Amino acid sequence: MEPVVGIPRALLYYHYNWLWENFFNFLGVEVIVSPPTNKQILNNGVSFSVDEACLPVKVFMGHCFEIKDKVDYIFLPRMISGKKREYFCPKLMGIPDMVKNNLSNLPSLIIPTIDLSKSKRNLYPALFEIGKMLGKKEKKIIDSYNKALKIWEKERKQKVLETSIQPKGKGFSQDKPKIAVISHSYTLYDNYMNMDLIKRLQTMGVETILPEMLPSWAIEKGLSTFNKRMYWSLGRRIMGSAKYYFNHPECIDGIILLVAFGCGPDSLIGELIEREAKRIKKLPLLLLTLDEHSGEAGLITRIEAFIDLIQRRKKVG
Amino acid sequence: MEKCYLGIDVGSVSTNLVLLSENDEVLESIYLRTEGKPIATVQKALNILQQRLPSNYRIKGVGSTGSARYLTNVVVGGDCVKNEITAHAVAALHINPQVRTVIEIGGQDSKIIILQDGIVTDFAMNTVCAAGTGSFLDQQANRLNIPIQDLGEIALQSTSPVRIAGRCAVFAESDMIHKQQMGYSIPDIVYGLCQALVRNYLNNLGKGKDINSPIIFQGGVAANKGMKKAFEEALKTEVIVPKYYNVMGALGVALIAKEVVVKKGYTNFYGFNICNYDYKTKSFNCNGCPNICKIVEITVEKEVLGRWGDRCGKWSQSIKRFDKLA
Amino acid sequence: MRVTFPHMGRIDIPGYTFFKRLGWDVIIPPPITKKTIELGSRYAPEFACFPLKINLGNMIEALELGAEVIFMAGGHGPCRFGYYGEVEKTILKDLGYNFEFYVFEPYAGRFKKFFQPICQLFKYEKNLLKIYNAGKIAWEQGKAIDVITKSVYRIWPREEIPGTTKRLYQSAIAKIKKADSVSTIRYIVDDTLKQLGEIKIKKETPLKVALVGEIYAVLEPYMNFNLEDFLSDRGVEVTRTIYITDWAEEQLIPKKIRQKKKIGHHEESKRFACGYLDHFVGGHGIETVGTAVKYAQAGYDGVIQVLPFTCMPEIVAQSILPSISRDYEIPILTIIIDEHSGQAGLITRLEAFIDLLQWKRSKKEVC
Repeated sequence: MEPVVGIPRALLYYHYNWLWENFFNFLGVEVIVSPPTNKQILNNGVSFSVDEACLPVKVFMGHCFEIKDKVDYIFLPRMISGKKREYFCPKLMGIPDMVKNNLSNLPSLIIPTIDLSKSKRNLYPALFEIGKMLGKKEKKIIDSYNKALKIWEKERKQKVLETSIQPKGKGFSQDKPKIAVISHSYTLYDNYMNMDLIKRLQTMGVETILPEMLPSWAIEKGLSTFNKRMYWSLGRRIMGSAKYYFNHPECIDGIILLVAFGCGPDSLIGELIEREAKRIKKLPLLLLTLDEHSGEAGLITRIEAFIDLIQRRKKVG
Repeated sequence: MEKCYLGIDVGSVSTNLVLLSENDEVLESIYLRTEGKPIATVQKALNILQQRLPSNYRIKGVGSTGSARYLTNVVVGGDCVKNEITAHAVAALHINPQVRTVIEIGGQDSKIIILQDGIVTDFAMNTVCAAGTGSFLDQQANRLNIPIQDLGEIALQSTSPVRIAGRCAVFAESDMIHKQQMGYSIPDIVYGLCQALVRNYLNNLGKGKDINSPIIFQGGVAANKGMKKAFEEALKTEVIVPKYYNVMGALGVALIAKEVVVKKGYTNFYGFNICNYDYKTKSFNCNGCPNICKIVEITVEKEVLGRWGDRCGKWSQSIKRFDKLA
Repeated sequence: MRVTFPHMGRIDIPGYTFFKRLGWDVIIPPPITKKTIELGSRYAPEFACFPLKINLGNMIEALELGAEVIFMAGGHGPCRFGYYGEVEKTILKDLGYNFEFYVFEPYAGRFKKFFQPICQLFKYEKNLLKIYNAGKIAWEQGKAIDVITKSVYRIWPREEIPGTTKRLYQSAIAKIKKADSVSTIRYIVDDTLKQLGEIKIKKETPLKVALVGEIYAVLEPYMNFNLEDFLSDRGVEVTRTIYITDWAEEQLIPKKIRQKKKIGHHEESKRFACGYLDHFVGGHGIETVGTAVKYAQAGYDGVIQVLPFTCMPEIVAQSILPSISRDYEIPILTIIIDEHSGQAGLITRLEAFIDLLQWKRSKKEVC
C-alpha cells in the first residue's frame, strides 16, 4: 500500500501546485488535494484559527481540517524563503506550528523547511526529509523533483503573456477595458474567497491581466524604480507589476488591487501603491478588501462603478 | 441581631443589589436600570432595601463590582472592590461548586469563564462588539414590537429557524430586516437570531476554550429561554440558568465582602444615611498635557471623595483615600 | 540641523545624548499622548500595526516643532518593521513636510543604502575619539536605565510603604538624564541599587508574572497602559523579558564575540520554543513562545503577552501559547492593543487575571 499524501488547496498551493503534485506522483505516492474552498471549509477555518489571523490563513486552516481524516500524511512545507534576501510572510513561516497547535487528531505531518535565503542547496536536505518519511531512495527523490520542476517551470512560462505589457490594442481588443487585477495567487485563484471576481469581470466584458502574465523582467524592472528593496517574495510580484504599469500607463486602463483582510504586508504595500496611483493620476485604481463576511452585493456595485468610470475615461480620452 | 452582607453590581445598563444572610442565603435582591446615573440609582436601590430590611438585621459588610465599582465603593463605604469577572465566578461556584463553564451575557458585554476544581483557569471578555448583548436584544425586540420578556417564549414556538448572519450587530440587524421582508414567521426569525448570537458568542469568546459541563448561564440575557435552548443545541448538553441569574455579580461580591469582613473584623459601610446625601459629580478637562484627560470628581458636602480618569495619576493620587481604596 | 527620532520606552535619553554629542540640534518628539495617536492613526494605513502609527504621530509632532532630519532604524523583513521608514516617509512627503529621512539598516547588498545614513550621522563630528565617547555615554545611560528598571520592578511589588520605589525610580531616571560622564552614571546606578536595597519589604512572596510579546508593546508604557506599574502597585512582580540594551547588544555585536559571555536571548528562546515553534518567524515571535516556556518552567504564576493589533509574528505566537498554557498549566493572558483599546476593559481583565493567579496559588498551598 502506497501512502496517501494530502495537500491543502490554499496559500502557496496555488503557486506551486504543479511542482508539489507532480513531485509526489513521480515518487509513486498518491496525492489528495482538498476540494476548492466552500462555505463549510471557510467556517471551519474561522473557528479553528485565532481571530486576528488573516483570511487566507483561516482558509488554509479549514482545508487542513477538511483533509486530515482522509490521508496518511499532510504536506505542510515551512516556507521561509525562495530566494536570497527574500522572505515569505511570518504567518507562512509559522503555519505548520499554527496547524499543529490548533487542530487535533492530525495524521503525520511532512514539514520540510524551505529556506533558500542563504543557499539554494538547502533545498536538498528538505527533499531528503520528505523522502525519508515516505521511505524513498535519494536518487528517486532528486529525479522526481527535477522532473516536477521542469513541468512547473514550463507551466509558469506558459502563463506569461507578452501582450500584457504592450500598449492597449496589441493582442487585446481595442474597445474592451484592459484591467490588471493584482493580488496574491491564493486570493486570485480561490474563486470562493474572491467571489468569482475574475469570471465576473470577464462576463462584464473586461480583459483581465493577472500578475503571473507579466514576464519576470518586467516585474524586476518595475521594482528597480522603487526606493526600498522589497523583501517579501509575494509582495515583489504585486509591487513590481503595479510599479511597471505606473511607469507604462499606456498598457492598461486600470488596476484592481485585491487585498485579503488582515494581510500584514498588503496593509503597507497597498498603501504605497494607492498613494502612488493618487500622485501620478494616470491609472484609476480600485482597492477591494475581502473578509469572511463581505457580501457579494457590495463587491458587484464597486466593480460596476469602476468599469463605468474606465469606460467614461476611454470615451473622453 | 442578625448579620447580613450586601453586594452591589453597578453596570452600564443595570444596577443590582443582593443581601446575603450569615449562612449565605439570599434575603433580598433588587434589579434597577442604571440609566446613566449610577450614584442616584445606588441611592434609590438602598432606599428600597432599607424599607424591606427587617429591623433585626444589620449590614456587616459591603462589596461593589461592575463598571462603576470604584465610584460605588467611595459612595457607600465599601469593604471590597472586585472586577465583575471574579465576582461572577464566585457566585457561580456558590451555586454549583462543580461548575466548569460560566456563560455570562449582560447589557453591554459578554464573558466566558472556565473553571476547574473550583478555581478559574481561563476567561475572556468582549466589550467591543454589541452583537449578542442585552442591549442588542432589547433593540431588536423593540423593532419587532415584542416586549423583551416575551422574546424567549416566542422563540420557543419556532418550528424551522431562519439562518441569520450574526457576526456583527449591524449585519445581524440588516439580515433580520431582509428575512422579515421575505415573509418568514416572527418566531422563526427570533429563534434564528438567538442561534446567530450563540454562534457568534461561541466563535468569539469560546474559541480555543474547553467548554465542559456543568455549564451555568447567567446575566440578564439568561432570562431568554430561546437563548438557553440555542446554547443547549449548540453545545449538545444541558445549560443551567440559576435562580438569581440576573444578580449573580452582586451575589458574588456579597460573598467576597463577607470573607473580607470576617478577616478584618469591621465594616466601612456608611449606613443608609447616604441615601440622603447630596453627591455631586463634575467632570473637567485637565490641560496639563495634550492627553486632555477627562477627570471625574465626586464630592459630598464640599469634601472630595474621589477622582478618576487621568492617565498620569496627578488627580487621582492627590486624594489620600483613593490609594487605600484602589 | 535639527534632528529627531521616534520614541520607544526611554530611548529618548541615550538618543538625545548621542545626537547632541555628535553636534546635532536635537528635538525630542513631545511625550506620546492622545494627540500623537490621533495624528498617527489619521494618516497611517488603517491596518498597519500600532507602533507605525505612534511613530508617525511622533514624527509629525517633531516636524511641527521644527525638526529637519529624521533618523530611524529599519530592517529587511520578514516583519513589517523594515518597511516603516518607507511608508512613513511617503506619508509625510504627501502631507507636504520638508525633511531629510535616513534609515539605519543592516547591510544587504547595496553599499550606498548602507553607508549614506551613517555618513549623514557623523557629518558634524569627525573626531573618532569624540564619536566613541558619544556612543559610550549614550550606551551607559541606556544600560543604567535597564539595570535600575530590572531591580525596581522586583522591589516595587514588595515595598511596605506604597510609592517609595516609584519615587526613587523617577529621581534616578532624572539623574541619569542629566549625567554627562560614564563615572557619574556608574555612581548613580550603584547608589540607586543601594537605596533600593534599603527599602523595607514585605515577607510574603508576590505573584510572579512574565511580560512577553512584541518589543514596542512591551517597552512603551503609553502603549501598554503602564502595565508594569499597574501590576506592581497591586503586588505582582513583573519580569519583563525584553530590554532595549540587551536587544541592541544582540543585534549589533557579532555572535562570535558575544558567545564568550553568554548565550543570547534569541538563541535561548529558540531552545525553549523547540517543539512549539520550530523556526524564527520574524519580529519577536519565537522569543515570545520561548520565554513563555522558560518562565513556565521556572514556576512563574502567569504570563502576559502584549501585542499590537495585526502584528504578524505575534499572531503566530498567540495561536501557539494556548498549548503551552495547557502543557504547563500556567495561565496566559493575551492583550491586543490598538488606537481603539480602552483602559477600563483592560483593567477589568488584569484584575480578574490577578484574582485567577491568587486563587490558583492558594489552592496549591492548601493541597
